[in-house]
Amino acid sequence: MYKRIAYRAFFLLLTILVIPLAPIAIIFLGVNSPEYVIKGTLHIDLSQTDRISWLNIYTDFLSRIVQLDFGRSTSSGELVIKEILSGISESFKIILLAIVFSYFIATVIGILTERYKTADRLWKWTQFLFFLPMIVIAYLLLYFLDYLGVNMLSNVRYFAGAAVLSIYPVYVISNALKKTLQELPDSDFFLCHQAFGFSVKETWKRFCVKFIVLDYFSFFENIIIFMIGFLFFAETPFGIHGMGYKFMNAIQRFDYPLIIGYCIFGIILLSIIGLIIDAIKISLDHREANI
Amino acid sequence: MNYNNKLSPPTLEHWFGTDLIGSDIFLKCVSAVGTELLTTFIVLPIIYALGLGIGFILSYFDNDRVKEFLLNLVHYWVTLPVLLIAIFLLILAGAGQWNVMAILIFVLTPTQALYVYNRLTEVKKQDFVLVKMSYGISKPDIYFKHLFPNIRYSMDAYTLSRMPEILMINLGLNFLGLGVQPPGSSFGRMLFDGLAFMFSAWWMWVFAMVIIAILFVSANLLVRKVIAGEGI
Repeated sequence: MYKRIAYRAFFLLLTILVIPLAPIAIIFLGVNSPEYVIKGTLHIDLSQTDRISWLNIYTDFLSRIVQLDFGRSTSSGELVIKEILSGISESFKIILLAIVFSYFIATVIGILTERYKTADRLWKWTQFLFFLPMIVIAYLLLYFLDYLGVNMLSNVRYFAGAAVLSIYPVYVISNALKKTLQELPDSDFFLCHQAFGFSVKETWKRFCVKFIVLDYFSFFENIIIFMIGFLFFAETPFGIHGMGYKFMNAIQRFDYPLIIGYCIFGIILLSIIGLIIDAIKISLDHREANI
Repeated sequence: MNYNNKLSPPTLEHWFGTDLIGSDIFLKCVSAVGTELLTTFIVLPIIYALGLGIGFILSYFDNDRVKEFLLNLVHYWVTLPVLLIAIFLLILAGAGQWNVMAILIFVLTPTQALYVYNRLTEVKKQDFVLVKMSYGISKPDIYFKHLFPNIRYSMDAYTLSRMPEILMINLGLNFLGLGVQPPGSSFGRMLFDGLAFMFSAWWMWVFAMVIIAILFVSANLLVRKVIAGEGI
């Protein structure tokens, strides 16, 4: 049962080993010559290739990844890891709020649409709002808040950013919850517990709620990946100086150490988060553990 | 492009107004729609074919260890942050829409292959496969003549359902400036350029935003219809 975790840990290690190969492969395949990236991040001048072997580039890059040393930002002069960590604290505020929003609103929508036909009809008619990309919602919200005279330097921007980030998760979680609530009473799982003598209420309370919570938990990893990946859509319009905003600025300023550092740090961080979530899920969910 | 006609609001001459360098926003929108559609219709068939090939190979060869390793690899890949990997590779490979398409294919194919593999595993358990095997039909024939037709429609629907995902990643990469480069135009870049003129020149972003909204809603409605029809 822990084979999957072992595999994930192994692939995480493999990812760390493969990442430094990417620039070398791209040069070798002749796709591009990312000398500027290598020079900016590793301080290696590729014009003097006779003195530098590919192995040197690889080992140097790998050791820097392991030490989380991505050099200094070319625009601010700060250590890249310091810049990323300062961005994380800002981003954490809206991600945390967005997760709370997502689960709370999705639970309410899921229960209401399952119980009341009018709510279900309304949900079906308004679902197209959730199809809109979050950048569109962010622009509309920004314009609307400005129209209302809201000071966008206040904490309102965090709520606005969180609302934008939670659009897609709300759609996914509420639909999944509604489906579970509709299908569970007719499932063999439910009937089996009733056959054992548990009442409907007891079955819900003792068995079903646990699995609904576990199913909620299974969305967590994807939601986090989605939120961190598209953070720049929520932070740039509202001027929240988190990871997404800094990343966006880094790309505009060709600040390669910060861009590379952010990407690698993000990939490794999210892989570790995924690994931890998977381990927790397996230890809590007997269905997973016994497969 | 007319430098003397910068940031002009919508007129009869320029229906959607002009931008900071005097480019007609209507023409930019037309070009951006073309970019979005071209990207989608190039990426979709390629991931379809690659996903089918890899999924078939995974399902065809019954070496449990190899299969276990490859399946775990695909499962791991599915949980990786696709956008960050795409950005990392784009920074190294260089910005440009062709590179965006190549990287979209690279990052989306594993999930496609996993879907094909799962569908094949489900269909393989059905009785008719046992019957065909008992007739002495060869394994390749069973795969190509009997299993493939059984998964084809659900695979078509699944591939089509990835349209909003492709549009979204493409929008994100273009917003960051890693996709279409000037003088070409994309919705992502138009929205980014419009942010600085959010309150002073609304036409810089409103028209692009309305078209994006229409594009996404239409894509999602189409996908929902197809999925409802296929029951996946």
